[in-house]
Amino acid sequence: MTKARKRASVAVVFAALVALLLLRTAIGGPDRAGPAEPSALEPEAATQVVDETSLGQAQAARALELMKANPGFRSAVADVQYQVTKIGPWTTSNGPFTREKKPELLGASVVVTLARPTELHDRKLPSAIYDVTEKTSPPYQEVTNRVTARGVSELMVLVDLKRGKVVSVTPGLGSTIVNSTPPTGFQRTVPDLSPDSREGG
Amino acid sequence: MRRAHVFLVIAAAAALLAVVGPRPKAEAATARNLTLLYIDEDRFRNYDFTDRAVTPYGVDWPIALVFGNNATIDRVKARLGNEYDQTGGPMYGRMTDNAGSGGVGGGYVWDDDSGGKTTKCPGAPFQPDSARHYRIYADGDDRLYNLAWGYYVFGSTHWDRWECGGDTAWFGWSENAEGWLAWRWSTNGYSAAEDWASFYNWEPYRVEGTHVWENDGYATWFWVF
Repeated sequence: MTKARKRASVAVVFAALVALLLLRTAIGGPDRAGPAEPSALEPEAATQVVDETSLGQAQAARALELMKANPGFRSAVADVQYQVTKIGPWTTSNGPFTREKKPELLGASVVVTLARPTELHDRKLPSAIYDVTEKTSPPYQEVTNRVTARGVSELMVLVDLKRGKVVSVTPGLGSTIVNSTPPTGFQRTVPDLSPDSREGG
Repeated sequence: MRRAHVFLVIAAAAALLAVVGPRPKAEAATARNLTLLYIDEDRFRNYDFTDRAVTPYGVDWPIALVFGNNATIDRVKARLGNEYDQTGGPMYGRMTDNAGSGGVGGGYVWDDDSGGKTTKCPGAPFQPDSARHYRIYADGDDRLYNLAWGYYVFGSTHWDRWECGGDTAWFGWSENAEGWLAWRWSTNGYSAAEDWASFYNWEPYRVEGTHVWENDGYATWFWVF
């Protein structure tokens, strides 16, 4: 092959590569990142929420103190090491309505991550059955369930700071609850499956 | 004999729940960062709503999904149907495909969607205790269009836990659910760019009633070809 032909071949290959790259940019490709990002308009006054439900440092510390002393929580973690990975406010909701209403602070929600996934066998854990109608105060019913669960790597703990009490210790996302049984004779007072009580499927 | 009767009753209840599903309607929640997003001539709200009303006190979840390039509602649902093969209750997205001159014109519409869900009634007898659920929205022809994104639809996603019994019902963890949806899209052979763009709807970890908020404010882009 002459030098001129070699050069021509290289040029053709190079041009083809450039064309392929341009084509890929134009039509997209499997590894391509997303396109242009949207922008946000200045939020209108009507869509602004005054946040009065944040959790102060002292409140967070109090919640952790209550959690660590709670027999249900201690029973759930047993001898497994854990870390507090999230803590945030636990507030009332707006019920099923869309009218304006200010959420009120109930306490703290804590996510505890266990050093290794564990199983819970017939542990007595507190649970708060939340009443989305919020007609009662507090807006939940307490019950102590006997819980058996597999693959528990997180626990979600709810602390009612007004009452100074841990009211729920639940196996976190990713775990499987095999059984959660309330005590004999327990009667649920929170409306169950009322038309407006569920998220909506 | 008695055992057989008990089994039949449980089976009948499970079948009924599986067919009927949880009852509709919702616990509305409070958005910290509700605003209007724009891209070219299009506008849409960065949360979906529990009713046809734009209010920060009546939202369901942050918008965190955009299926673009050549998407329609049906095309997206077909491609996720191998896992998200059930439906839930409807929620509402707010948008306009052409905001008009200056971006202040009309054309705003509502779209309702019941979405796709991995289990119809989580927590019901013989059902998993949790389900992942997404909803997607578009206008009348089931797709929106602009030059930047092509034909697209947008949506939200979240988890439903013990929705139909078994323990206290909880909903949320939308950031986690978004990651799972991107994983499913990719394992189905399609491409996604996780946390590609800010949708200005960051929600720090908090629990509002039974609504567990957690969203990093960045939406995922799903390529549709």
